Amino acid sequence: MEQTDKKAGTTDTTHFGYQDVAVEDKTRLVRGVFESVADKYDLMNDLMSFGVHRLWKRHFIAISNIHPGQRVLDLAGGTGDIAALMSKRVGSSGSVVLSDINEAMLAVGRQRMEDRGIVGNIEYSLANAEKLPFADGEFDAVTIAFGLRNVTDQPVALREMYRVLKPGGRAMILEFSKVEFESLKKIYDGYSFGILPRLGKLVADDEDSYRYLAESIRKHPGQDELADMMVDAGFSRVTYRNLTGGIVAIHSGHHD
Amino acid sequence: MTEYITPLPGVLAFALETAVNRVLQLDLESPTRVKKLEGRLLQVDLEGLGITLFFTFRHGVVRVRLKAEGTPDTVISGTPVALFSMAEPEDADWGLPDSKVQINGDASLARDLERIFSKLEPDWEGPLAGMFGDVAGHQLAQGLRQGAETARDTARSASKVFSDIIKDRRS
Repeated sequence: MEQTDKKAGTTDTTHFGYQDVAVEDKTRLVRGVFESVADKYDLMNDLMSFGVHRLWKRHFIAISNIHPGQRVLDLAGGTGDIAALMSKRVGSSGSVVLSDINEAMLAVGRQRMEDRGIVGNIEYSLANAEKLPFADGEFDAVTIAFGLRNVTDQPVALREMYRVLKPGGRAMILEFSKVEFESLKKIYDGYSFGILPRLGKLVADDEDSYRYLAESIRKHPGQDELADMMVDAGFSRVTYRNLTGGIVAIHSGHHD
Repeated sequence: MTEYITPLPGVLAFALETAVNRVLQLDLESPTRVKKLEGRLLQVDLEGLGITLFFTFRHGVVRVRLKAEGTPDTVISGTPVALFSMAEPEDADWGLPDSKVQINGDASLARDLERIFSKLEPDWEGPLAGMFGDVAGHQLAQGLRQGAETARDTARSASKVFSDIIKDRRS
């Protein structure tokens, strides 16, 4: 987030895709995008990743080390893909809190979980990742998948994730990242900015939202930068792993 | 810095980085060990191929690039075959003066890297159990462990045969 001099009469700005917008406007604008795409969210993810997002999410949970009996929080949980996988892992003795700032997304998620018969160990929370309504040290694990880049003040959200973790608990972030392999980067950029918005228009009649999604990925911190942010937020043992050549990365850090 | 005409060196760097980190990630202790190398720069010259690779270490991750800023702490040169012998702790004579691997600069960095790989205890079972269930995962992991051991033995034998052939030709 860019800090500007309020005494000089300017306002704090942040990025919304490639645009600079006032900090207080970003949350509303992101909410607009997700309200627009909520009912086609899975289709959007499939378009953006050729369906590979399903494998990324499975891998994310497979390496999460989440055990039966644990209490876990999934932030920006959207339509509940991650929460559904975690629900199986924690079992009936554990619990999963599926959280999202967007009421429309959370409603879609809740409906889908109930349709899949995933009830009993799931709770729902309409919550802003920057101001979590949970006690200190309440969770064994906190996850956020494809959500952090839409958060207005990411350092604050990371500190909140750290706060609600128990000592020894682990935060995991699955997010689009930076591709550094030149040949793959050219193909990826061509797809993201040339084809994806057109597909968005064709499939969902919403070119702008899809363009925002592509731009927001490019504006998101790269692997090392996000790892540095996690260290600054207090996490220890911070590391990451690239998937599919760095198109996405999984970052993890502990509350020691 | 070397400029390459073909994208192949970039592909090699990418493949190597992916492979090295994939193996390291199977051992939960690896990021902590790799973190100890943070801030150091290793240059590897692949003789015969004319490719130079730069290894950096951040946040427990090994990065392999064709370019790097700063002066390398250590420069290792050798043919790919000679360099592969570094990954074989039992044949740890690569640092000796008559080795086919040349090391200039801080040799401790190369030794530290060798230690990281020699201490590696990949947890094949965890990820496989997650994908295939506990029983099938355990069996697959056992198979992989045996396969890895067989591959290591084969590589060791091949390396020995190769080095014997070279010695015979010289004498």
